[in-house]
Amino acid sequence: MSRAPLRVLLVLFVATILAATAAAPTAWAWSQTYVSNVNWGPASSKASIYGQITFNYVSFTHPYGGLPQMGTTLCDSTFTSCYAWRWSNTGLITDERNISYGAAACKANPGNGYVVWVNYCATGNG
Amino acid sequence: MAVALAAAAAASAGAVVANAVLADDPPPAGVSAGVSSLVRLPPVSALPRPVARFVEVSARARATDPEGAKRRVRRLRSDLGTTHADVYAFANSAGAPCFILVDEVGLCPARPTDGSPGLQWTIGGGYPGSPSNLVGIASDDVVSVDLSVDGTSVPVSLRNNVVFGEYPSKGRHAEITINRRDGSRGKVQVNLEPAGQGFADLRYLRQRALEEARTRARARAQP
Repeated sequence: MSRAPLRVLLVLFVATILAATAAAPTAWAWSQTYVSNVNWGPASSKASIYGQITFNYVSFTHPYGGLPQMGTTLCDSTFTSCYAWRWSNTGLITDERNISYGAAACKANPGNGYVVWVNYCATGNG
Repeated sequence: MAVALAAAAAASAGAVVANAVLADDPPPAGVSAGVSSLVRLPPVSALPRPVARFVEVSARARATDPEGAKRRVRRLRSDLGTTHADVYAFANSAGAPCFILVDEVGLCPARPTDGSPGLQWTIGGGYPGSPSNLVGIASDDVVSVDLSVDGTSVPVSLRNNVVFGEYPSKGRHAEITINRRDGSRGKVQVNLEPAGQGFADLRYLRQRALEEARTRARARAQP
């Protein structure tokens, strides 16, 4: 069997992939819920997997009293450079910043006097 | 003696509950004293894309019809701070104000009574090209909000129920003072954890996760 048809098929396959990439960037959209349904004491935190990030959502309540605060940030892939934490004592917080490649994180403020119930921390793009 | 003079103005469209209380009463919880700008200002006819996305996400999170919420969005402030950002807001089905400082942060409490008495706030959030800020929705009984970062006073404006003040992202500690019309005030302390600090634990968590992943991979590779 000649190799020419195989080459044509290969070229068509690659062209199709490239066309799909250019026409539908949202096909690469991703999201991750990296914390869900957990009690957090002061300074508890967790980070997401890496990727392009356009949002980080932090949902929490305070069933044990007080007004404990939660925060959100985005960091580069080495965690040596992060944006400033964004804090609040009521959620849902939606972090609207973005980073081309890095991780998102959420954290209970170290100054909290009460445990906070974290419904979820979720990030992604799209 | 605590006597409520007026209560409950929640309409089907989610108007913010309004309470009036005597001066010696404890302050109304959250912004339950009312956020009149969400009714007084005209709805926005065309929402910028980030605002529409915020409304869809936050409305669903609060059991609110997103399309109905979009029709209730008001632009409360414009051209704020270094990034010239706008603030848009709507009332969710429970009557709590959900707001977005475009391209920076959004906040959507479950109830108008959530958060600090008189102010549902968020603080911090600096990134390259933008300092940190305090932004929040104040109830109608709040006349001013003061912000001090590391002991230095930061100018804060209050207009259309929105407070906004900008400060350098290296700040470590913030004190927010909420001044009410009856002369009473409340204070909120925030450990800011400025950029470059407080990430050692995240780096440790990341390193530990990577090590665990490698251990699992080695275990799977063994016959």
